[in-house]
Amino acid sequence: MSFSDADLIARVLLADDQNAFGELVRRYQSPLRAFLTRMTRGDSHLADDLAQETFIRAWKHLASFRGEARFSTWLFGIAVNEFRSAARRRKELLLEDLDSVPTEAGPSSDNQPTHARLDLNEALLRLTAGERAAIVLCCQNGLSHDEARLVLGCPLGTVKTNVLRGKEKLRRWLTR
Amino acid sequence: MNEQEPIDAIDLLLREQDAYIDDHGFTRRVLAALPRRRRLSPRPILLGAIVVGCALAAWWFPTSEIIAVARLDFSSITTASLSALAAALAAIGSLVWGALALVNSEC
Repeated sequence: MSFSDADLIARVLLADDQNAFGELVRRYQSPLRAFLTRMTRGDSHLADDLAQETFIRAWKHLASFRGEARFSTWLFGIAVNEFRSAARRRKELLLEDLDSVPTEAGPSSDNQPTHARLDLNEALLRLTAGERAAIVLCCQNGLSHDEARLVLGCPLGTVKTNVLRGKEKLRRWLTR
Repeated sequence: MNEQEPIDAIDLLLREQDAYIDDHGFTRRVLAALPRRRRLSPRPILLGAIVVGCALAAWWFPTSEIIAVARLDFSSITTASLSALAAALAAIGSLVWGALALVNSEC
């Protein structure tokens, strides 16, 4: 029998049920770790550390989850905050903020070697952090633009622009 | 997904690359690292109830009526003193309940 997220959350809140929380972790560990691996440019160890911190933070603050958004959206929001904190501590992680809109000729926009055909992973790493976050959340994890706006804490227009520009860059790089 | 955008080759490629990451003990590590939740302890409440119960019992305890009953002098017992006796018994009851609850909470 499969419990809904709401059932599991209620069991955690009412009875400190670690098994129920474990089920939530099992349910969302894969998308969260994949998202953080993308954001940390493939550093899976750091991504796992951040994912663990995300779940611990979720455990501590579960009572503040109001159910207005999906639980996964709430978790991604915590993960983004953990990533931002780590990026501030380790300056090499994040070269630009997640809610920035890059200019057309930004540092990672189009100065790629033209002879090489990039694979998707490599191409994703070349996007700006904001574009990469928006693409992974919306196109890989199925979040709506509005949910991604909540997760990233930036205007809706920024999310849409980052998705469009990111996809356009990927299309260009992958079809060369 | 966002209805306003048609699914194109890039979307399909991104979804294909979105492989499931095996747990490999991740959940176990998270559960092992969870801190204990801080719950409101009933001890201060119970101790407060006991102190209040003791004070009420001492204030209302009808010593003279108890002495009259002991001497079989029923003429000196009034309705008011019986009420005081009932109140004192209730206070003693709450005192005993509080003490038992405190002992149980420590087990």
